[in-house]
Amino acid sequence: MTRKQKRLAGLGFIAAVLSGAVGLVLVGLRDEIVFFYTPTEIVEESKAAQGQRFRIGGLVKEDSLQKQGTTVSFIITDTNSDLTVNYTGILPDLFKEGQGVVAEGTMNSALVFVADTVLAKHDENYMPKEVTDSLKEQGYWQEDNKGS
Amino acid sequence: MIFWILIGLLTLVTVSVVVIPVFGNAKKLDSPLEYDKEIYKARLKEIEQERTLGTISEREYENSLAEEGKRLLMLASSDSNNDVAYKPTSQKSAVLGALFAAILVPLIALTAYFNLGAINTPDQPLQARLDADPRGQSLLVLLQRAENQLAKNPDDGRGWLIVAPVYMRMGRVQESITAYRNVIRILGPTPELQTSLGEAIAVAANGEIDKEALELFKKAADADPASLKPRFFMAIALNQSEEFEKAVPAWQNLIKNSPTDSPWLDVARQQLKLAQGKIGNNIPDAVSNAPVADSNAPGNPTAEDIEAAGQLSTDDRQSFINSMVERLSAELEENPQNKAGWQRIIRSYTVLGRKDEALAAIEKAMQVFEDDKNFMTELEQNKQALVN
Amino acid sequence: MIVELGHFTLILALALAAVQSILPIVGAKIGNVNLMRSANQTSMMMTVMIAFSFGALTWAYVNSDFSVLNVWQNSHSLQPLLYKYTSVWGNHEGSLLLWVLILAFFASLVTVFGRNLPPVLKANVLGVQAWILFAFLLFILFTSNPFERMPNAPLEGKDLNPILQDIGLAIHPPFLYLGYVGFSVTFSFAMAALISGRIDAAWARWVRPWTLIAWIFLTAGISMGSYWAYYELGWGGWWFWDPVENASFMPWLAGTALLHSALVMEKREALKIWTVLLAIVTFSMSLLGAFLVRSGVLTSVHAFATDPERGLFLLVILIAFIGGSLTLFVMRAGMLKTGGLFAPISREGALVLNNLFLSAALATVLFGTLYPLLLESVTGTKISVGAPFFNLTFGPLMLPLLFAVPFGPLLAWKRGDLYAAMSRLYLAAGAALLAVIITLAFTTDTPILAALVIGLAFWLMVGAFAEIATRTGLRKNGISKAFARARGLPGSIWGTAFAHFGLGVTLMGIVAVSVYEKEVIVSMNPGDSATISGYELTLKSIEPRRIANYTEDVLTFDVVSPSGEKFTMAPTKRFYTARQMPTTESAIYTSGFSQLYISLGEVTDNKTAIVRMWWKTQITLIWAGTIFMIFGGLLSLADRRLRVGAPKPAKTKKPSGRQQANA
Repeated sequence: MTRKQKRLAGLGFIAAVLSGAVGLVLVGLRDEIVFFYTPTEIVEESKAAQGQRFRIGGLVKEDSLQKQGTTVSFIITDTNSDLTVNYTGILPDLFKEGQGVVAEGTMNSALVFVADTVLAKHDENYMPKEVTDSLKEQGYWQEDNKGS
Repeated sequence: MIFWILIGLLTLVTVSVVVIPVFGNAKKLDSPLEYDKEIYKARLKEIEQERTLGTISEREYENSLAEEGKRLLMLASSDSNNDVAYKPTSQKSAVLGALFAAILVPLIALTAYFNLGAINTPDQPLQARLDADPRGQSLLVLLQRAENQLAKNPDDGRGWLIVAPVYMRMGRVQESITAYRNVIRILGPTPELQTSLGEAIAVAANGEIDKEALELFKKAADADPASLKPRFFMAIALNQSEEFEKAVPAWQNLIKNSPTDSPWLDVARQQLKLAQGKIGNNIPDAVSNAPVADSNAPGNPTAEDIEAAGQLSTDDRQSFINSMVERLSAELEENPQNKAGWQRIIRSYTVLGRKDEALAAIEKAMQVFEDDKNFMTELEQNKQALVN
Repeated sequence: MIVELGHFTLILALALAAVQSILPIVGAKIGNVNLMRSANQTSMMMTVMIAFSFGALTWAYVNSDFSVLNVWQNSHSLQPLLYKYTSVWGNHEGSLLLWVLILAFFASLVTVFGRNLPPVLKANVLGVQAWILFAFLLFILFTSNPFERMPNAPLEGKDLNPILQDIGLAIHPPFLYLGYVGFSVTFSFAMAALISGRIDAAWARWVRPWTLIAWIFLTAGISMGSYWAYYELGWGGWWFWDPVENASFMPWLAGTALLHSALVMEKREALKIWTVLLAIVTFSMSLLGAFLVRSGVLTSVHAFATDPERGLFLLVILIAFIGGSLTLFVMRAGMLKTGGLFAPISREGALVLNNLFLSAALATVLFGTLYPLLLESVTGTKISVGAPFFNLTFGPLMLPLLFAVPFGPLLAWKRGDLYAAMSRLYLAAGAALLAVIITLAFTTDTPILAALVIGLAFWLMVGAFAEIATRTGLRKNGISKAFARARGLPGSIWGTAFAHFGLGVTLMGIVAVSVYEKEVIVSMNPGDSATISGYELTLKSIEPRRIANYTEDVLTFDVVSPSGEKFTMAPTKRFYTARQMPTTESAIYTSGFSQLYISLGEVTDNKTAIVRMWWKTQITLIWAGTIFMIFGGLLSLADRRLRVGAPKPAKTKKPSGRQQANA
C-alpha cells in the first residue's frame, strides 16, 4: 500500500467506527428510550399503546395505597386524572401518599399501569422535575415555597 | 474592635504578598529552549538506564536516541523562541502591576464584604449559648437545655414532667405525648398524668378521642371519683360515638358537679343540648354503624364528615348521606380493590332501603373479589339477607 | 468572629484570583519576570485564604453554630462528630467551597512542583487556573454563600440528609472533586500552550502525571460512589446510568483517553493537537458535570438541592470556559507543530484506536445524557434515556476496545509486529478459551454472549501481564532470573499491567452479577424463613432502638450458609426525627467475591417486614478491579520518569553554561 492508501484506510476505519457509533445511537433512540407521560395524557389522550414502556409521574393520591404482602397498588394523580398502578417489590423509603413519584412500566389490558420501577427522591422537599412541570401545567403548583 | 484590626491586618498581608514580589530583583529570563534542553538531557539519561536494565533492545535504543535528537532540533527551530517574552524586563510595568494589585485587592475585598458579610456578627456555638446564664434566656434555650439533660439521662422522670406541658403549650403535641408516656413509665401513673396524656393524644388526633385516650380517661376517673376533667373528655367521646343516651346523663352530671367558673361549662352545655337533640330522632344510621376499619381507603368518611353529619338537620343529613354514598360509589368505580369501601356501601344501601342498588353492588364486589373466600361468603350472606 | 473572618478570607481569595487572572498573563506577554512570578505568591496565598475559610465553616459545623444558615440547614447538634465534619461538604454550598479549595490547592501544587517549568508556561498556567478560581469564587459568593447568617439563631438544626449520613459520603465526594478539579490543571496547561502558541518539551512531560493524578482520584471517587449507592440506597444496583453518574463518568472516559494520548505525545511528539483538544474536552466534561448536577436541569437520584439562578450562573461559566477554550483552540491550533507519522500497527496506532473508541463511547454517553434535555427544550416531549440505551450503545463500543487492550503494550513504537504480539498472547487466548468452555460446560443458564464476555475478561486479565512476561524473558530465563528483572522494570510498565488487569477484573464482576444474580422478595414475620442461593435465612426478631438523631427497627436474621456456617445479619429501617425521613440500612454478607444483600421495605407494627434479598455473584470484583486500576495508576505515578516536574535543571541558574559542558 502506498502512503496515501494507508492514510485513506486509516481514515476509512475511523469513519467506520464513528458511523457504527452513530448507528447504535439511532437504534437506541428508536428502541430504547422511554417517554414520560402524565396521568392525563394516558387516561384522557391515551398516548401510550398497550405494552409500550413509559414513565408516569405525578403525586401519590392520598389514601390510595393498598398493600398485599409484597404487592402494592396505588393511584398516581396529576389532580386532573388518576391512574392505578400495580407494583411488586419494595417501595422507596421516601414513597409517601401526597408526594411526588415516578413509575416505569407498561399498561395492562385492564388499564392498570404495571410498574417494575418506582422512584421517589432523595430529598423530601424534592419533587421530580417532570412532576413539577405537569403540575404547573395543571395550575396546581405554587412557585417557591422555600424556607417554609 | 479586634475584628476590624484583624480585617485590616488580613487585607494588608494579602496586598503585601502580592505587591512585594513585584519589586523583587528582576532577572533576565532564560529562553524556553534552555528548559527544553534540560528535559532532553533527562530523557537521554532514562534511555541509557533502560538499556542497562535491558528493557529495550539495542535497536530501540538507537532509534530513541535519534528520535530525541530530532525532537530537540525541531524545538530549536521552532518559531516562538525569540519572541517578545525574552526582552529584558521593564521596571515600569512592574510598578503599574503592583499599583493595580494594591488598589484592586482592598477594593474588591472590602466592597464585597460590606455587601455580603454580616459585619462583626459574633459566633454562636450551641454549647456556649446553652451554658450561658439562664436568666434572661428564652424559653427555647431552657427547653433545649432540659432536652440535652434528658438525652444524657432518659430515665429522669422529673425532667420529662417539666418538658411535657411546655411541649403541649408550644404545639409540639407528639413530643408532649412521648414525654408524658415517659413520665408515666418512670414515675408511675397518676390520674393527672393519665388525663394529660389522654388530652395530648386527643389533641394530636384533631380532637378525636380514640380507644387509648378513652381508656386513660376512664382509669383517671376511676382512680379519682371527684375529678372532672377526665369525665369531660369521656362525655365528649360519647358524643363522638353518637351514644347520645349515655351522653346526656354524663353531661348533666358534669355540669352539676362543676364549679360555676369552670372553663368547660360553656362547651358542656352546648354538647348536652346537641345530645338531647339527637335522642329525639334516632333513625337507623348508616354512618355510625359502619366499622371504622381501613380509614385509609378512599371514599371512607373522615372524622370531619362524621362530625359534619352529626350537626346537620334530619333532611340535610339524609342528603349528606346520599351524597357520601354517591361519592363512595364513584371512588369504587375507579379503585375497585377497596374492600372496606364495598362493605360500607352495601351496608349503606341496605340501611337506606335502596335494595336493588345494594344487590348490584354485591354483584360487582363479587366479581372483584372472586378469590377472597371469606369475603365471598360474607357477600353471599348479605345477598341472602336482602333477597329474603 | 471566626465565621465572619472565614467569609472575609474567602472574599480576599476572590480579590487575589482577580489579580492572578491578569498579572502573570500580562507579564508573560510583555516578558516581565516579576509579574510572572507574582502568580507563585498569589496562588499560595489564595490556598491559605480558602483553607482558612473552609476551616471556619468546619468550625461552625463542629460547634453547631446555627446562626450560620448553611449549618442550620444541614446539621444537627446530636449528630456524631464524624458527620458534623462530613456535613461541611454534604450540601451544595459547602461542597463548592471544597471544590474551590481543591482548585486553589492544585494551583499551589503547580507552583511548588513547577519550579522547573519554563516561566512563561508556568505564568500562563497559573493565570488560567486563576480564571477558573475567579469564576467559581464569584459563583459561590454571590449565589451559594455558605457564610450567610441568620439574625435569630435557632437552637436545633434541620439535620443532614440522612442518606448522606454515611462513611461512604465522607470520602467519595472529595475524591470525585480531586478528580474533576485535577483536570483543571491539564486544561490550564492546554490553554497556556494555546496562549503562547508553543508546546514546550516540559508540557508533554507534565500533562501525563497530572492527568494520572486526576484520573486516580476520579476512578477512586466513582468507584466509591458506586459502592456507596450500592449499599446505602438499598436498591442493590451499582450503576444506574443516571445523569449524575454519567456526569462523573464522562470526564473519566475523556481523562482515560487523555492519559493514553498524552503517552503518545510524550514519547513520540505526535497527536499534539489532539491531546490539547482532549485536555480541554476533559475539563469541559467536569464543568458540564458540575452544571448538570447543580443546575436542576435534570432529574436524578443524586441531584443536589437546585436553584434556577445558580443554574444560569453555571451555564454562563460553562459557556465562557468551553466556548472560550474551543475558540482559542480553533484560532491557535494551527500554530502548534504536528508530530511524526507512524504505521497503523504500532504502539501509537493502538493508542489512537483506544482514543477513537473512548471518544466514540464518550460521545454516545454525552448524547444520551443531553438528548432528553435538548428534546424537551425543543419539542416539549419528555423522555428518559436509561440503562437499555446505554447498554446498547456503550457496550458494543467497549467490547472491541477491550479485546484490543492486551495487544497495545506489546506493539513497538513506530512500527509494531502484530504476529509477534499475537504469539505472546497464546497464554491469554488459552485462558480465555478455557474460561468460555468451562462456563458453558458447568452452568446451565449462561447465554453464549455472556460466556464470551467472561472469556474476554480472562483475556484481559492474563493478557495484561504479557508485556511483563516478555520483558523479563520469563520463558527463556526461568522464574528466578525473570523475577530479578521484573523488579527492575519501570513502574509505568507495571502500572499499565495492573490497570489493564483491573479492567478485566471489573468486567468479570459486571458479567457475573448481571447473569447470575438471584433475587427474592418476601413478606416475613418473626420466625419465618426464606432461602436464596442455598442460604437459609430466618427472621429472628424485629426490635426498635433509639440512637442519637434517629430511631430504628432492627431486623435480626439467623443465616445458615450452604456449607453450614451460621451467622447473623441485621438490616435496619431508620427514621430520622428531624427530617421525618425514613431510610433503609441494608445488611451485606461477603462470601468470597460474592455478597448476600438484604434490604427492607416497609416494617409494619414490629410484626411484618417486606424483605428483599439478593445473591450478588462476584459483585465485589467490580470494585476490586478499580482498586487494581488505582494501584496501577499509583505505580505509574511513582515511576521516577513521570514524577511531577522535569528533572532539576542545572541549579536553576545558568542552563547555558552547563549546556556547553555537555556539548
